[in-house]
Amino acid sequence: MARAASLDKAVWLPAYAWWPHPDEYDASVILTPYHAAVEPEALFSFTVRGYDGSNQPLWEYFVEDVYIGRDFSVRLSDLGVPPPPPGQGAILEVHGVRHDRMPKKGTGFIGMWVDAQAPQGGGYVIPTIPIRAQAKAIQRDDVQVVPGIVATKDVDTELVLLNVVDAPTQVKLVASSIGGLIAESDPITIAPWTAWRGSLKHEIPRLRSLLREGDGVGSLSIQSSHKILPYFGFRKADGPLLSLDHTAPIFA
Amino acid sequence: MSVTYAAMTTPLTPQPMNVHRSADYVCHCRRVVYGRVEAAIESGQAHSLADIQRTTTACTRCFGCRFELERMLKDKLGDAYRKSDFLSRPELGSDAKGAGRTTVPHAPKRMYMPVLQGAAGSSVRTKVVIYHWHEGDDPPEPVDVRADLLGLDGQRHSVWYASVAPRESVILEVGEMDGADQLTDGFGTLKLVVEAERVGSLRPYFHFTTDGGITSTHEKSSPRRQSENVHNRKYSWIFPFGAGARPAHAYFYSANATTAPLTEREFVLNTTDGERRRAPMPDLELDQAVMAPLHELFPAMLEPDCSGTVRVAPTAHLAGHIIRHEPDVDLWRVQHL
Repeated sequence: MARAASLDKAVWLPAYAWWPHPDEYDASVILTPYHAAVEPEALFSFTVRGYDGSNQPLWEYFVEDVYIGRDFSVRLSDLGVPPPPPGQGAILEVHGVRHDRMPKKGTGFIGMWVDAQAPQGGGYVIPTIPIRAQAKAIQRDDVQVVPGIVATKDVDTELVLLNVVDAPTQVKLVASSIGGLIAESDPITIAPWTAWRGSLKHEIPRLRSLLREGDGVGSLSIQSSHKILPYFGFRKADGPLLSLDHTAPIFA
Repeated sequence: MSVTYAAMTTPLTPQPMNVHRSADYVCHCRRVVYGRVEAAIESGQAHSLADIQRTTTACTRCFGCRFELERMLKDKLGDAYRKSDFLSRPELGSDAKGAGRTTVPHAPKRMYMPVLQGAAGSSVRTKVVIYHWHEGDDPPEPVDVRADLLGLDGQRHSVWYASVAPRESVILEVGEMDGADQLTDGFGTLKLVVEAERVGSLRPYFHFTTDGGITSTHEKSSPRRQSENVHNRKYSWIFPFGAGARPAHAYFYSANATTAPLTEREFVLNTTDGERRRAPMPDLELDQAVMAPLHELFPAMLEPDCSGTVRVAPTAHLAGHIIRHEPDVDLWRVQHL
């Protein structure tokens, strides 16, 4: 399936989320006009796509005639599409287009939501995020932070990093104790259009020792050669990844 | 509109409580002590909150002492107390440097997040982490932050201070704050006041931790500008939910972070199969919040095949969070709006 030729030139840009393996999460994309408009004449269409390793989507699912009053839920397990790789997962694209008007600032995006539920309990609710067209002013887009990583005997922090551009991305993880001591990972390369997933305890040597002064809590910066979409969550012992949230940019 | 949900037992009229007074400040932003306000009232200078703002400068920055000042006025004046409009940008007169300049108060960054301390019969507790990221030479000054622990009614229980040095993090265990064990039903609000011109990396994240695990997200900030039409937004805050085999309890946390009262709103359920239900939302003054149990207001949300959204209508500017709870495994999920 070819990536829509108009996608890279669209004024309404796509937004992204992690595409987890269905054994791990039962994920639904919630499409709602209420999160993007109040005008009764507002009209949207959405295309949900899956990517893994290429800018050519593996599948896509189109929802049209989304107007005020109509909400949709696209449950990925109902689509009959091949699952992403176990463990790493892949990339979900949710491309919303508003048909009754253009974006106010040249380009825009229509963020939606993913509700993912784990079979053992837990899960996450998370907005889709674009790689461009966000209105929030940031100082730089090559650093993001996670205040509140955890590394204890029982709990690990897990990262999911999405690279949604056509070039490999170099990433360095820098953990910081509450007092400002740091430890770094080796460089990590994320191939184009793939999800990278890893454990902080595994990637950063002596992390538990570093964070001991904060009873296992500290902070993290994620430095990348170009903008990526990072997420973090927590895992307890051998249990499931219990939560997922996006990291924070350095705001202006 | 007057609404009380039994499950929330949210007293929307602030109730007297034992506020932490160790610093003797009633207004921590302006460093105004209780005695200064008491003197203004007793001398006849202040009959209203607006009078106190003008005569003492209290309650002119983050407005976190508003309910406490109103209670002092009621206690001192009784029937003579006049409830006045809340002034968000009072004229403070000429500053000390003269030249007839009027001091316009600089508004600090106010950040809101829900607090869960033993809520819903859970072992849940709340922890906040603030990180002052910096690299390279010439580090910036440390940033002062203050955290007010509030009941959902907006009443302040206690105050916490920290200075966050560059490259360092600070951790706030909410359970260690005075009054954390007095939150009604274990629900509350933490309001952070950050004295920084730029947010940078200072956006705090919080953890809800149980014996089952940890979930985390970040605060929601007050709007930069407090205009009368702040609640007229171009889209709605929504609580999305998909179908699933493990239906979870659903709480819609909404705090009013604006000086404009939030009134005549409702929660509207819109399922993907076309069901629509409505439930009134309590009126909220600045700093007041509601932890609406959507699974009680809209029991259909607990059905495994039910999916859709709940929104606040008409639109409103909220500092809000989506919260789910699975009591059988004591796991929470949280996400900011």
